Amino acid sequence: MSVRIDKINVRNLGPIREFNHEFRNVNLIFGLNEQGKTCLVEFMVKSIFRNSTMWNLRKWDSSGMIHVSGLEERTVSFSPSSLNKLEDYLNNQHLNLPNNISKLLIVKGADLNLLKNTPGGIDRSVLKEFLSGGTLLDEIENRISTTIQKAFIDNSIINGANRGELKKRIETKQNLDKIDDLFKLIDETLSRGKYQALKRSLENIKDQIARQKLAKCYRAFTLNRELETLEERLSRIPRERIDVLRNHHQTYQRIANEIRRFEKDRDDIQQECKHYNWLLKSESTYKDIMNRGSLKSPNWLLILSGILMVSSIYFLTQNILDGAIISIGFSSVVLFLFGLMNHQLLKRGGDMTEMNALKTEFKERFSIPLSGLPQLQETISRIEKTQQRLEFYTQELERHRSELDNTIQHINQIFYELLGKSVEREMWEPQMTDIVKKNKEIQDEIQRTKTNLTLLEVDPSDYKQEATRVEYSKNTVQQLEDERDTVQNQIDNEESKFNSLKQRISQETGNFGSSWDQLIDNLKEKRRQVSNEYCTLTSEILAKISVNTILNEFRDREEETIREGLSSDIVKKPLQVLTHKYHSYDLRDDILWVISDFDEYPLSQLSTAAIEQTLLSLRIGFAAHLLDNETLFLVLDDAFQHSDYQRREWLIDEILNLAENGWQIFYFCMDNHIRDLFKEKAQNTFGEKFSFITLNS
Amino acid sequence: MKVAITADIHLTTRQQHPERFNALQTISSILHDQNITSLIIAGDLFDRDQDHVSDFDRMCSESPLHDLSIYIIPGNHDPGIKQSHFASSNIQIIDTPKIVSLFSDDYPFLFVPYQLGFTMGEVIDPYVEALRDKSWTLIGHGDFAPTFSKYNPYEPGVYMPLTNRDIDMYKPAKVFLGHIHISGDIGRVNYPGSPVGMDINETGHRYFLLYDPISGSIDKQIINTDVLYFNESLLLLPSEVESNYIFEQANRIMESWKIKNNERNKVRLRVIAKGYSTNRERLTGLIKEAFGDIRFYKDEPPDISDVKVSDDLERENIAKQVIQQIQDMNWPCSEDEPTKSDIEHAALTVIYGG
Repeated sequence: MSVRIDKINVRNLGPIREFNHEFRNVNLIFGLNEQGKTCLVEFMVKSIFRNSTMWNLRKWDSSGMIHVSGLEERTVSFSPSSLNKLEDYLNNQHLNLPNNISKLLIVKGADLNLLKNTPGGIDRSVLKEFLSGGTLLDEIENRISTTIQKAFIDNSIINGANRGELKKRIETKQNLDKIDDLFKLIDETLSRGKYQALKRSLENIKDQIARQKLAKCYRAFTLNRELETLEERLSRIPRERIDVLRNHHQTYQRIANEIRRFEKDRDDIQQECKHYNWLLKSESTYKDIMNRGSLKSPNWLLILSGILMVSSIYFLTQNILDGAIISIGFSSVVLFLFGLMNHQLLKRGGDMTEMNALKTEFKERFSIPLSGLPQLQETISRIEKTQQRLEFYTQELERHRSELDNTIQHINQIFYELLGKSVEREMWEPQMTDIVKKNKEIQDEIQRTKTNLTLLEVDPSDYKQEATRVEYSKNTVQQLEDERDTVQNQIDNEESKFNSLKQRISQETGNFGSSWDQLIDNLKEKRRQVSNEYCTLTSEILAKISVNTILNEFRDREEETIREGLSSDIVKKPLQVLTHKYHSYDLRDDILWVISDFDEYPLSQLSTAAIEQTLLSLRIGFAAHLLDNETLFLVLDDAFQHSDYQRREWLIDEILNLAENGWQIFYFCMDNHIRDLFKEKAQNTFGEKFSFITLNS
Repeated sequence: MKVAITADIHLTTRQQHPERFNALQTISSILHDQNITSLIIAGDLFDRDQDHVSDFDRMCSESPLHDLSIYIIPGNHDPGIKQSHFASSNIQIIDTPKIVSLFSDDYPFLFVPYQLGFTMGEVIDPYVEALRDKSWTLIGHGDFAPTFSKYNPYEPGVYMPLTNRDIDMYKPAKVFLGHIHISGDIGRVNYPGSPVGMDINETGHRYFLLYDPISGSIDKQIINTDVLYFNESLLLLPSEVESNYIFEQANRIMESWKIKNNERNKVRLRVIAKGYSTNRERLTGLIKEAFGDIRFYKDEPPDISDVKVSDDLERENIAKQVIQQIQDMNWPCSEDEPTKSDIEHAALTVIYGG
């Protein structure tokens, strides 16, 4: 069924006060300038079509309706304020209709071009627009970056080059993952419970160490007290007094020894001196005897006799007999004389007995024989000297004994001093050994105590007199300190982890807070922002990929649609009818070619008339193609105004030819020649189906 | 032996928010029917400290709440509530950490009231020794670390956080935390959620929990609340059949609520429309009409401030096919990923511009 404009009723349309006309198949509307032709065309555009803004129409305070049949069973009325337009009805049947179909059906002015400022008045974009709806695809596609155009979704993953929005999305996701890692780290790290438990443990250990320290101070106090006691005990047996005692004892021993030696020597001398009186008496006796005659034996005669006997032996060995006889003779004479003289001595016998008795006693007393008076005198002299020594010894003994008494007195005094009691002399040494030993023991104890005290390293001002419940133990302190260090390390480790985490969160959020609540809240806010950004980016990318996919589906059909369109009879037919020469189109490198039986040319290289014919045929062909061979109305507003007379005739013939094929034609004209030519041809061909309207406002 | 657990009721006065009192009343009726005698409220019973305690106190002295032993810990909204504020003998305010044996010494409960500036771990720690080798349950009020990333407009900030490290260290059998208003669970940690929506952001049916500490079972019980909030968005597409499109979406949304016919009058709806329309003027009426007898939240009209006008019907075919493709798209659903509605809206922006 043909779509036809049955009637237009309009008031106050520019210069037109009222226009009420019913239309036929072919309608020629004639009017001079300013009679409202263009207003009427614009009213038609505004009332019937969508997107009337693309026509840059004037605004009129008009009211009216255009009644169209063929869209529904009933006549549909359109006005500029109608919600539904022609496209709304047509799109129910033809989903691929371009939005600007009005451009095909309305030729405003003398411009047949479908695209201004383009050689030939048409290009691929026009073909796409009317044959495939393609420029819209381009427009939408222009909003999609090349990166996303090449991207695709596979198994819920966006695949594509790592640049542009895709790169930004990945980076945003990485940021989000980084924040989530931080949240995970918070979840795994943050437990103030353990930290507090460690701190409590540390406090407990420190408390124990403090108690140990107090115990140490108390220990130092007790050690110091022990030290004082020991020193007090030591002061009672001072070393110097012991040394004095020992010196006195040594002195005592030395003097005692001296005394013993002197006493022995004295006794010996005294033994010797007891013969002194006897010797004095014997000397006197001996002198008396000697004064009474010499009782000296002529021993020299005996010696001489011996010499003479030796001489005689010599002479005999030398065979000097005379000498031997003479020597023997003289030796016998001498020996004779010796006997004679001894005989004289024996005769004085009494003196000799006394002398012998004296000598015998001497020998008894001194164990040596008395040789004579000199010996006796020498013995007397010696004993006299010994008597002098005895006196000396006696004096020395006296002195030593006195000194010994003093020493004993000192020793007793010191013993009493050290022990508070007297000590028997035989006990001096063991007591002294005891005292020395005791002194040594105390000194050793003092030394040990001092060392222990020093090792405690407690300043005397810190000594504590109060007893503590715990006993100080260096090992315990060491164990506690080790434990404290371990716990402190764990706390440090926890704090280090916390601080590191805090730092990372602060760096991530750019906000430096101290409390966990604040830090986590900042991170939450940061995550919310990044999540929103990621969500927006992802939705945009997914949306664009989806749109692009659909665009590609449309575009896949585009080339095919254009070629199918151009080669379809429905598009080709008007070309043959209007040009009488060309029968088909071809699209080569975005340039439209027209083809005859003998030639083929790019559209732009045809004559102006041929181009106009071709463009008009394209309009009609496109419209027929889009409307699936349905016929509509074609509105031509002074479309042939600038064509020459010959071409006007052809064009009018073809327009009327089109009308014969079912199209409703509206030709708005201000030119008398066109009016007459059109009127004549239309009247002849269409008779009653032709309407001529003159605008006369 | 079961105990009921709820939280975050945010009571004010009966006059201001009767639905909150009624939710509590509904819980107590259910407990009465099931012979359950203990109810734990894990913080934020009141919207603010001791304000308006009298209505609740009076309610507790009357049946059926009077039959319940009600254990209450303070939350971040009511940290100052004290036992002395209440006359009803069945109310126990636990305002310092305390181990309570509700049923058996072998299954103790550690109640940890909210304390500003503390983590859950550091408050729990001193009590854990006494709970060692027992199947104990933690009742607290705060954030669980894995939910940190969740945005909660009603409760911004972080409160008394509990971490998985705490869970690993102290090994409670179950944890019930107040503070997060939506019911849910992560591992051993359970949020009973608010028993009634606080505002339009707390949508859909609300629940309380029934917990058996011996078997460890947790049953989620739906609460028949006075109001059901829903916060929805509509995507508009310029079309000659725009109204059909709106009606279809409205029907789909209402089906997704899974509410009974007799609950429709409880719904308080907020609608935010996005996308493109040929006629904004008639949009508000159209949307209201599409949702039929459903009441709008505070009687506010649908928000169409984000709707742009377009009468470009040529793109409709592309838009429809794109939306269909997005509907068919198998894209993971998570809090960070866009919803199909988000993607559709973004797609319309690409198609229509602007």
